[in-house]
Amino acid sequence: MLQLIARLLAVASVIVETKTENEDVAEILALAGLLVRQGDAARQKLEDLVVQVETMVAEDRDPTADEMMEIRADREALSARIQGVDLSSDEESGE
Amino acid sequence: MKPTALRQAQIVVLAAFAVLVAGCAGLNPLGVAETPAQKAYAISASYNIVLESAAEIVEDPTAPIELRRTIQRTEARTTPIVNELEDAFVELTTIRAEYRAGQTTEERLQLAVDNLESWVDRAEAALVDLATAVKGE
Repeated sequence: MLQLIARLLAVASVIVETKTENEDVAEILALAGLLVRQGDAARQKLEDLVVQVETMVAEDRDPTADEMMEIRADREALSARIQGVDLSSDEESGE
Repeated sequence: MKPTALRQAQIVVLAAFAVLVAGCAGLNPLGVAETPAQKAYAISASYNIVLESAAEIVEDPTAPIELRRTIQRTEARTTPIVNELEDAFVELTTIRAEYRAGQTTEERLQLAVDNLESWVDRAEAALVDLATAVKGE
């Protein structure tokens, strides 16, 4: 699995850096599909998000300011969690 | 979080990352969005999904310290960019309302749309930056 992930990352990095379409796209999609099919919380959230956006498109509407600010509030909380961890000490290590 | 859980979190981010950047319409919120505002929403919410995994790793005392520091540094740089995306969205919403009320020009509305599209591109790059940091090695 780790080799698969490494391969996926290598292909993804190339795609991101070059922003070009080639046969690797099909490969990365297949690999991503394999990972995604394993099932996890992020996949579910992505699926839910896709449905949300599809619904907006179907309703021919843009997100509301309230919808966007809700995301903003969630992000501020997550950011505070990340920046609230003191990693300045070398002792703060699990290695 | 146990090392196995850490690995799972990284896999989760990788999956999200790969799907988002590969242009897969099946699980790519950005791929189904049509308008600049819908794209802004898709990127902003997708960023949060990656950020959740990032937070889990940073808070995990068993995770490699350099990985945690890299994520923390990257997040400090990328989150403000996504916040700017939302600010551009709010600005567009305001100007669009003014335009519909006949209080501003079409040129000003177009400038706001162009500005949002510009931030969509930058926020997409920020999303990739964060996901790349989270992937670790």
